[in-house]
Amino acid sequence: MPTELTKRTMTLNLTDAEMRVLESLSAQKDLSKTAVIRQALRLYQLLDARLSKGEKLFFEDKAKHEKAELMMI
Amino acid sequence: MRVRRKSSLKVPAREELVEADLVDELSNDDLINAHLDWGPARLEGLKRLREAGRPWPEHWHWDWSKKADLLDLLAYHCFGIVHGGRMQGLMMVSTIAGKGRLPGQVGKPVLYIEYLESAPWNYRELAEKPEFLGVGVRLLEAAVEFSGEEGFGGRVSLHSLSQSTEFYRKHMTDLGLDSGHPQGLRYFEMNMEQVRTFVEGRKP
Amino acid sequence: MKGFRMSDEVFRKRAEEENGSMISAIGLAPLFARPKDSRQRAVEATREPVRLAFSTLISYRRRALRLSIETLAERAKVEVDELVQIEADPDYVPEARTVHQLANQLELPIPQLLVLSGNATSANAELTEAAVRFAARSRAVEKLNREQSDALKEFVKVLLEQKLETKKK
Repeated sequence: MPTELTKRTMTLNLTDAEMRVLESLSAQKDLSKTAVIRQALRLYQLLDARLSKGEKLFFEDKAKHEKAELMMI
Repeated sequence: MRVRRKSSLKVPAREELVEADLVDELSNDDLINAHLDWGPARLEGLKRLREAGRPWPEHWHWDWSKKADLLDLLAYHCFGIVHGGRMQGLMMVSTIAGKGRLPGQVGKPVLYIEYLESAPWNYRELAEKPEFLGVGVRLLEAAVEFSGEEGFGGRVSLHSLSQSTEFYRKHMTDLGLDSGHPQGLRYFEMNMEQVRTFVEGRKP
Repeated sequence: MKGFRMSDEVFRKRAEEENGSMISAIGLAPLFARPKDSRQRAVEATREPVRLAFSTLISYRRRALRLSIETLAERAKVEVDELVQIEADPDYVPEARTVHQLANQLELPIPQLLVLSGNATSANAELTEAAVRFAARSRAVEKLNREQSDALKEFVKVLLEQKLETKKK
C-alpha cells in the first residue's frame, strides 16, 4: 500500500433491510462490506457527474426492444 | 503525480534492470505532457512505417475533452512508469466497469483496464531498437496489485487492439471479439490462477 | 501488496517475452474515437483527389503559418498522431469536430473544409475542380517552394470565396 495513503473511518447506520442487502451483495461479489460501499460510492459519483451534464441513463431490454430511462434525484 | 512505489524496467540485451517509479494520481497536465513527449517519436515511427509501405498499427485518438472529466472520478485511476524523467508507459483503470465472464468468476468484480500504452520508443514496431522492455508487464503487474488491494483478488480484464493480442494471450484468457465494445475489440480476462502464474513466473 | 509483485528474475523473463511488442488496450469509457475502417475507406477512395487536396491543404497551411505539428495539435486540441495521419493519409477521414478545430486554428472556412475532408457533400463544382487542381500542383516536401506557395494561395482564395450549400453526411 502506498505509504501516504490515509484512510478515514466512519460509522454507518443502516436499517436491517439495508444491512441484509449489503451482506448479500458482499457474499455474491466476494467483496468485503467496505469494498461494496466504496463501489457504490464510485458508481454514484460517476452517474451523478454524467447526469449533471445532461446525459441520460437507460436500461435496455434487447429482446423486447424496450428502453426505459432511469432518473436519479 | 505521486510515486506509488519503486519499480524497474529491463534494458534490451542486458541482464541489468534499471530503476523506475510506478506513479499514480496523475493530473490532466501529466497525461498531456506525456503525450506531447511521445508525439515526435510516434510521428517518426509512423512515418517510417509509411515509407516502408507497412500498415499503420490499429489506431485510435484521445478525446482530450472527455478524458479530463474522468480523472476527477473515484472510479478511475491512472498509473504510469517513469524513468529518466520521462513517462515510459501509461494506464487507466476502472473499478466499476469490470465484471467477470470467466467460469469461476462470473459476475465477480474485476479491475478493468480502460487504457494501456507504452511510450513509442519502447515499441519494436515504431522504434528501430526499443529502449526499455517490460513496460507492459510492469503496468499489468500494477493493475493486478491494485485489483488485489481493492478486494478483487488480482483479477483484471481489458479490450486489446489487434497488434497487442499476442502479448495478452500469454497471460490472460482470450474471450474473443466483443460486440459490446464500441470498436468490437477482443476481450481478455485474467482469473486468480492466471494471476499466480503471471506473478510467480510459471509457464501457463 | 507483496503477493502480487514479481521477483526480478520473473520480471526479466516476462520482459524478454514481451520483447517490445505493442501492448495497447482501449476500453469502454468514452475516451477515444477511431478512424473509419478500411471498408468505408474503399468506398470513399473514389473521392481521392479531393481528399488528397484536404491532406495537403492542412499540411501546407500549417507550414505557411510556421506551426509545428505539435503546436497545432496542442492548440487545436487534437492528438499529434491524428494530425500526422490527417496530413499523410488521404484515406483518413477525421471527425467533423476535429475539422472544425483545425479550421479555426488554421483560419480556414469550416463548411469548405468539411466538404474536402469527406464530412459533408456539396454540389459545388468549382470547389471540386479547385481541389483537384491544387492536389495536382502540390507535392510533399519540407518547405513550401514558390510554386506550392502560389498554389496554396490560389486554392485558399477559392475556398474563401465560396458560399456553400452543404449537406452533412
